[in-house]
Formats: sequence, structure tokens, C-alpha cells
Amino acid sequence: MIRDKTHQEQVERWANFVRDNPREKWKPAIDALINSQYNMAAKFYKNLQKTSEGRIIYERLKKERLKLKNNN
Amino acid sequence: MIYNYKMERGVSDKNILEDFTIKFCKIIEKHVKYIVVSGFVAISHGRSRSTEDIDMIIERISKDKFLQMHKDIINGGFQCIQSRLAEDIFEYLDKGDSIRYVKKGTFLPPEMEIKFAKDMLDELQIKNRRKFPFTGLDIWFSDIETNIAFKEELLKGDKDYKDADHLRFIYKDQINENLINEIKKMIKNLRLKEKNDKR
Repeated sequence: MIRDKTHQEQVERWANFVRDNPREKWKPAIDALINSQYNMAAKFYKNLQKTSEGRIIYERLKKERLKLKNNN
Repeated sequence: MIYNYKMERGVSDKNILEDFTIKFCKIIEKHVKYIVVSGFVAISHGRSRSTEDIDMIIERISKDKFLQMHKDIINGGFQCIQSRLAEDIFEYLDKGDSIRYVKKGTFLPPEMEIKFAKDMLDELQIKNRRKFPFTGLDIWFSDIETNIAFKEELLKGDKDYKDADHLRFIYKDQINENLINEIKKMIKNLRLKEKNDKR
């Protein structure tokens, strides 16, 4: 696999920043990044449920993901 | 200061991923020895990425013990996405497959992916499990050298190499290269050989 040099450099820069600085300096940035991923996904699924077409897609996604058997 | 996000007073400084993992691990801890491995190890060390699943390895336990643990997991506000029947879920684990739990009432990540320890390598990781003060989390992890070895020798995805590099930079001067090489040898013998034999 060819690894991009600039990506590698960025990993190093960020890791050094994390290692050399107190948590208060870098943790909020990580939290914002991680929370935004889940919040964006939740928002997308919430929006899907606003239209009839979206609700069909939502149910299909839900069914595929939750492979529940007929045991409710 | 590069980042200037204000933290509200009294509000947890844990993100969604950490909050999910801490709650889940607290339940598991009561029943069995566990370790969190792979991506979450790098992320909890400040790697700037997220993930959909957290990988957990647990000691092999009896069906009865699992049923009790599963009951606690459900009561703790989680659900298994493969089945609602605890006996079916145990079957997945027992056959060497993973089981996945998400927060009750949703099917969205984050999700906890759990596997039984499958060989000497997993048992060794559990035996040598560590907590890392640097993460600020009261969670058991597999050691740094093992995580690096798995990412560089077995997983080998772009994000895996970056995770390994991140951990190498964080623990610069503390990493035992001989141990990483030993683990890589074990991975070759136990995992890659098995993978090639299946082909």
C-alpha cells in the first residue's frame, strides 16, 4: 500500500500536539469531531422520517440492520 | 490556543463514544474479564477520528454466565442487533462470531462488538490488560505493543497504519520494539496461517 506522505506528517503533527499539550487543549476538538459524527447520523435518520418516501427507506435500513427474528 | 471550545460547567467532558463505552464496560466488568482493542485504543489516546464500533474481547464464559451478563446489558439500556433471544446470541459467540450491542431504541452506532478470546494471543492480551491514565478512562485495554502489532501486521488498512503511527508517537521512547516483533510473529503463526489455510 502506498502511504501518502502528507497524511503521515499530519498524523505525526497531531500526535505530537496531543502528547505535548494538556488534555484541555486538544480533548474538546476530539469530542466535537466524534459527537458531530453521531449527531449528523441521528439528524439524517430523523429527517428521513419526515416524508413518506423517507420513512420507507428508514424502515428498510432498520430492518436490514436489526436482524430481529419473529420473536417479539 | 489552537482549539477554544468552551466546556459547560458540570457537563461531562466525555464524548458520545466514550460515554457509551464506559457505561457498557461497567456492566461487563461485573461478569467477565474484558479488553477493548483496536480503533478505540487510538481514539482514546487522542487520534483525531471516530468509529462506528468498539471492539471488545472477553474471556470465554459458560452459557449460564453469559445469560446473566446479557440480562444486565439489556437492563443497562442496550440491545443486541442480531437477536432478542439470549440463547441465539450466545450461539454466535460460541461459534466464534461477534455479537453487537447498540443503545436500546436505536439501531445507530456506536455499537459494541464483542468476541470470545479465540486463541493464545487473545488470552495473552487479556492477561496483560492495562488501564492508561493518559486516556482519562477507567477502561481495560490491551497493551500498546499488541495494538500496534495487530494494526501493522494483520489489519493493514490506511486508518490502521495511522492509528499505529499515532500510538508510536504518543508513547515514543516507551515502546518495546522487541515485544511488537514477538507479537507479530505470533500473529503470523496463529492468524495469518489460519487465514491462508482457509483460502
